[in-house]
Amino acid sequence: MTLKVLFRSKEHVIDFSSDIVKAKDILKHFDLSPEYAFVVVDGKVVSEDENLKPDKKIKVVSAISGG
Amino acid sequence: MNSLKKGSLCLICKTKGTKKEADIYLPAYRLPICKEHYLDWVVRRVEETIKEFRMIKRDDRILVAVSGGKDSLALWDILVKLGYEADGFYINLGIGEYSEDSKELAIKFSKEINRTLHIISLKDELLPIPKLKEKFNKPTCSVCGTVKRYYMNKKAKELGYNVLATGHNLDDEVAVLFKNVLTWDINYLSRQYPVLEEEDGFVRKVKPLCRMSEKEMALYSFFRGIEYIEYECPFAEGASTIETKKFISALEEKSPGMKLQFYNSFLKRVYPLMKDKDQKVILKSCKICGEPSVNDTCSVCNMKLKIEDYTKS
Ligand SMILES: [Zn+2]
Ligand SMILES: [Zn+2]
Repeated sequence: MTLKVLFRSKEHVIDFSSDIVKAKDILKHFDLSPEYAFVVVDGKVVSEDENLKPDKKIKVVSAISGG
Repeated sequence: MNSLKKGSLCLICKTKGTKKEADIYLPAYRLPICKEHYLDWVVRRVEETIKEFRMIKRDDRILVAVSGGKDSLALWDILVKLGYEADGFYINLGIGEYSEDSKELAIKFSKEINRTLHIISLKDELLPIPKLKEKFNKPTCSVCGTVKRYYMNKKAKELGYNVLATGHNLDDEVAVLFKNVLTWDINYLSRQYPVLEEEDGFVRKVKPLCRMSEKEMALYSFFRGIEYIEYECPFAEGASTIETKKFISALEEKSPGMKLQFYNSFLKRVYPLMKDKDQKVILKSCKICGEPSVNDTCSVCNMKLKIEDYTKS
């Protein structure tokens, strides 16, 4: 499954070998932990176990900053 | 349980006798909570922190150091919600697109909450950060920190504010504490407190978000619809602080609440032993600008003098 994901104001197109992709798989893809990052689907924060669909607007927010 | 389970109900709603699905789960507090109660929960927690450390008095005039990031904008929002007299202060560091974008977001937010945002530009006051980096052979983030602290203090006084509030969150404080513990840096440890009283030409400095984690603040900004700069300053990318934070977050994931406990225990048990142990440096007034300084001329005026020499030769 291919998903389009908005991360740090940039769109990423990600190919997954499996057809079941959970929010936590997206975090893993960007090497992020749920301890400081979360996934937003159609404007709603979702649980890490949420299954993602290509027709939804997916965004990743990482809270970690170096400042 | 470490994440939100489908169908979990908001605990606050439950105590009020209503049933509503939780939007998020806070592992450190074992709290499933709905969006509305979360926003209120954050404001109340910040209020408790302000009271506990006596950070702000009702008639204080607060200047919030605004970077355009999630923490400083959320802090400003919360202080205004709590009824404090709080305006913003933005320093345009001159870091290309990053500075332009974050400035626009800070201006936009100031209009939304209808408060004054004071803006200064390093290119008028001194030199933009990339030029400073070129001229002075020092790590960019340390030069940037020195310059920001200098202008925040100086402008707060000039503009008539007596408190300077910064958006340092729990993860920032824990990362610094962790590094200072690794080196047992007593001088830094003895000053790592969320409120530093006014003294020797410094205004009072407060960190009301010191108990809120980075993710908690990102969630607050998200639910509040605050637009903030989401990408990292190009100079901070790959900064060692991020590595430290990632390391600590791996521990937190295994034992939720560990960060808060590490920080709270330091404040309660260790800080009291440290606070009088720092080598008190007698500060002078910089002979050029009058700001507090270790030497006759402060570090920013020193930079200015060197820049003038460069331009002359
Ligand atoms: Zn609720
Ligand atoms: Zn000076």
